Amino acid sequence: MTTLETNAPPARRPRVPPIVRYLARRLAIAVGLLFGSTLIGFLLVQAVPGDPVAANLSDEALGDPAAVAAFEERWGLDEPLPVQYLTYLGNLVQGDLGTSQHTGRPVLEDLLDHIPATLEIALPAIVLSVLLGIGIGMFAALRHGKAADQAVRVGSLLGLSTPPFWLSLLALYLFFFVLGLSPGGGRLSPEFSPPPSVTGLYPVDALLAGDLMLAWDAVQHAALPVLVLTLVTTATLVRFVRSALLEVLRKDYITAAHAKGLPSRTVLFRHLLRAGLVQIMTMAGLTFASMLAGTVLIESVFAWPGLGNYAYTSASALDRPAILGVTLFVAATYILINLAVDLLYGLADPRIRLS
Amino acid sequence: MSDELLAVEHLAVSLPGPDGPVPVLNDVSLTVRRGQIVGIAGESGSGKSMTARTLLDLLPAGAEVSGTLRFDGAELDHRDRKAMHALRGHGIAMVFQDPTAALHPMLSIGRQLTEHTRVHLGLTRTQAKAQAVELLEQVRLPDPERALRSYPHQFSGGQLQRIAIASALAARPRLLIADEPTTALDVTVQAGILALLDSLRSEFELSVLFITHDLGVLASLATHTCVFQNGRVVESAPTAQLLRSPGHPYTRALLAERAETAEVPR
Repeated sequence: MTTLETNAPPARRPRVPPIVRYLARRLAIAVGLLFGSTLIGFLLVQAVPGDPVAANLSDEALGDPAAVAAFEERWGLDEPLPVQYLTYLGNLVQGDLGTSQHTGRPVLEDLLDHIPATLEIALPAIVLSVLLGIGIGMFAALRHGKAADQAVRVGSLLGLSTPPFWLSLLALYLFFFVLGLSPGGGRLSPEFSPPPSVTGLYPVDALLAGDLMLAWDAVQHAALPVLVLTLVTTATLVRFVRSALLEVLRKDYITAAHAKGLPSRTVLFRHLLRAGLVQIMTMAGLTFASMLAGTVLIESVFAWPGLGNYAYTSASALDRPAILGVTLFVAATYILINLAVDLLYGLADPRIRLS
Repeated sequence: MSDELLAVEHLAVSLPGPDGPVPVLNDVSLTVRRGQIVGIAGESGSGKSMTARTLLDLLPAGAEVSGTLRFDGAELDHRDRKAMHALRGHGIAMVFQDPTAALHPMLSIGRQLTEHTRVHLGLTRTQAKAQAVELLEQVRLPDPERALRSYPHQFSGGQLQRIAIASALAARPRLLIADEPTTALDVTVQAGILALLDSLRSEFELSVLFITHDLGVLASLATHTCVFQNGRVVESAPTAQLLRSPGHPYTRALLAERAETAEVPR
């Protein structure tokens, strides 16, 4: 790390800018990971106990060997596993995720139908939790060891250890049943029909269509799942931000910034937060990815037709192409977010950008 | 006495501990005159750095302070945080032991040399940058223009300490506290930093409080030296006299230790 005493900062210019080399390496790793996750996903789905034939055919059809054979041939189940996998990969490269055994529709179409619903609650939730997490985590770190800090720690631990589905039920009971503030489950009230699809996010599409009543109804429906998701992820982020900033607070350069006589606001936001931000964004990215994958129970409680709900129904029906599709989507999200975070690291940290 | 810049009288500091306050400084008194380099010597834990931190109000939360502070002719109330903080950077500045840790790794050198001058001296961006270039020249850093666009990891320890000194001097302080500024550096680089501090003192009419565990370093640098042990000043005398005929057994012990480990004649 430390360079020798030289006359000037390094003047040598490598042929490829370091940031490009850095990104190329990350990209190659991402492609490899994606490939690996198809294999693992494929094998895991095979390993699930249960017979897709039994799960999808009626008792009557199961008694008929011809029907079973037809089903197996239709889905390629009579081929050896490696052939099945290669076929799957071959289709995947062409953007074909297969056909759902349960809905009979292409898995890609099913996914595209359900993803916007999940994004509709996950996007506001991650934005809110990052803002709250940084705010509360910073507040606690600056009051390290004092009563306010203890309160934040206990509060976030409580948030972490509360099961999300229970929190969902509680929220639904309180705001829908007792207070009557929430319109209940689903994305829209029965009297409304979905706005013309542009982004797939109902409140946004409704606004684009100029229908304020519809937008308001969609927002009211999304409010409770967003609240629950926000509470759960904020708890994680608060703890992370707090410990990341506590570590930075101990650094000499923070003391030095105070000693220079900078206003404390400058020290907090320019020096402290700047140093912790990359780590915090990493955590926020991973939290967002796990949010997309982990909304199963919350979506079930709120009858929210998102990815979680789709994963749940596919799993119950042992719908292998659909399960694999969801798995791949989640894996790709993780990998993409990691790639974005790596890019952010490269931009934010001169030690990576320049060396 | 009109050439007195800093006077510390009967300073006592205690930090919160698990079983009540733990005293770290006891009845510490010292005076720094304008343009004078005063040395503070002692082992780690003797209260040297605590004295520096008290002057800049950088003590941990819950610290208890008593005693009198006088800076530039004005009585200072250590409980008046606003008045204490007003001194930071502009009245009293500090250089830290490890320059690789004391500069923000993600902010450019230019940024770190100008952010406080714009606050304290009300300089515009262009003026602050011109002043930063001038300062880097004064601390003998080659190619200042380029250095401003660079980041700390691109420099060596000795270069970083020069940059840290430039940053400390940027807001034109009257007192510079140098807390073991050469300890983390190579022996060959140390001498350069010491010479630099001495020449800056006369250029900027600066007073320096030089903290070190190495009495020998003070020989050619400080006119007056205070020896700290366990949070007290055990001996305070002109440096030459103190080195020639140390009065306190602890000072003699420090000197003897130095004679055993010394490799560089000064």
